[in-house]
Amino acid sequence: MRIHVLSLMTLLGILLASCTSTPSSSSPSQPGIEISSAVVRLAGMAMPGMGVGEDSNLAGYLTIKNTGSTDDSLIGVQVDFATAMLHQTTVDSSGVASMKEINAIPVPAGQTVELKPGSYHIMFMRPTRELKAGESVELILQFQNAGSIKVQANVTNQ
Amino acid sequence: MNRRFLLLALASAIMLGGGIVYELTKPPSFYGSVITPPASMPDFTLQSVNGPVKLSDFWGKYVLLYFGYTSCPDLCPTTLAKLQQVVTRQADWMPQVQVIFVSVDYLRDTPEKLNSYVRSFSDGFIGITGTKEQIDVVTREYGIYYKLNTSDPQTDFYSVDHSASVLVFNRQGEMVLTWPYGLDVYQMASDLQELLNR
Repeated sequence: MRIHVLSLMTLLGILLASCTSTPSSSSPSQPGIEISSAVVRLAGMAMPGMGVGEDSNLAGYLTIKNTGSTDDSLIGVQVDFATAMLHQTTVDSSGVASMKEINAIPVPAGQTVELKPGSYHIMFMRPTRELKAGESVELILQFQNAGSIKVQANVTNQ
Repeated sequence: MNRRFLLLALASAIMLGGGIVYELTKPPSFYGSVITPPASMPDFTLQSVNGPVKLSDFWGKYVLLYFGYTSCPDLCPTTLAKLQQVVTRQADWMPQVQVIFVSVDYLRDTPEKLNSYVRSFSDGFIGITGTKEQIDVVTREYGIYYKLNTSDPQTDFYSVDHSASVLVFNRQGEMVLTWPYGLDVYQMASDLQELLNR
């Protein structure tokens, strides 16, 4: 009987541990901020020689969930392969697209903000090395309140 | 009893026939904006890596024309990647459809750079550009807005505002449809299917 109780407690312990661990999507979380679906897109850069050098730019996308009770903002991104900038694309009612650099992407408490095509995104300007689809690169995200968060982003063709 | 059966059969046949006639004759529904009547557009010539390209070179095919720039990290690659998925959705579509990417960034984009750029999406895509004067004429005639923004003094990078719609031309070179940014691959493929069936 004692053995059974011990087994049950062990099982409960494992279950609790699995419930409180970070998601297995290789996206580390910090209190209040959860990052998922981080990608660096190679589209337009897949040819040999493209993606490195003058005025070649890549885009990065991810999802930020603020599970905390205070508002936060993504205020910067660092990578080892390019200069990273926060950008916002807008398409107006006449169908004209414009892209501008922004200082911060607000992530209100309890909200989820998606960096996606045609909206907020990270621009990786003039990559200094060629990235390959399938590899993983580190992004260091700087948040106003949560501080620095490291995530791994998948490099994808599209 | 037989008479009632005959009447029922007749009514069913009429309803079925009516349904078929309706399906065959109903106006096509498009996700894009239909241009009625199709608009005859002035021809133009711009430079590709393989020499001058005229829009009229592609009469006989459907043409999907998109204006942008290769330094664009977000919208242009998104649109071109979608177009690649659209035209390869069915094996026999590629020979019937030509995707042409016009760079309005006459300062940075060369035909060589454009060629490398568009071929990263599909070997069949064509990239063309020209001088400021040539780009100004084409964009004005085709109702395309563009503006090269001021360079950032720190990075020397400038973005380009531009119309984000794809223009669709029929086999006679008439503009028949525009696809505003935001349509998905399924919606554009559905429109293309409708057009190719004509």
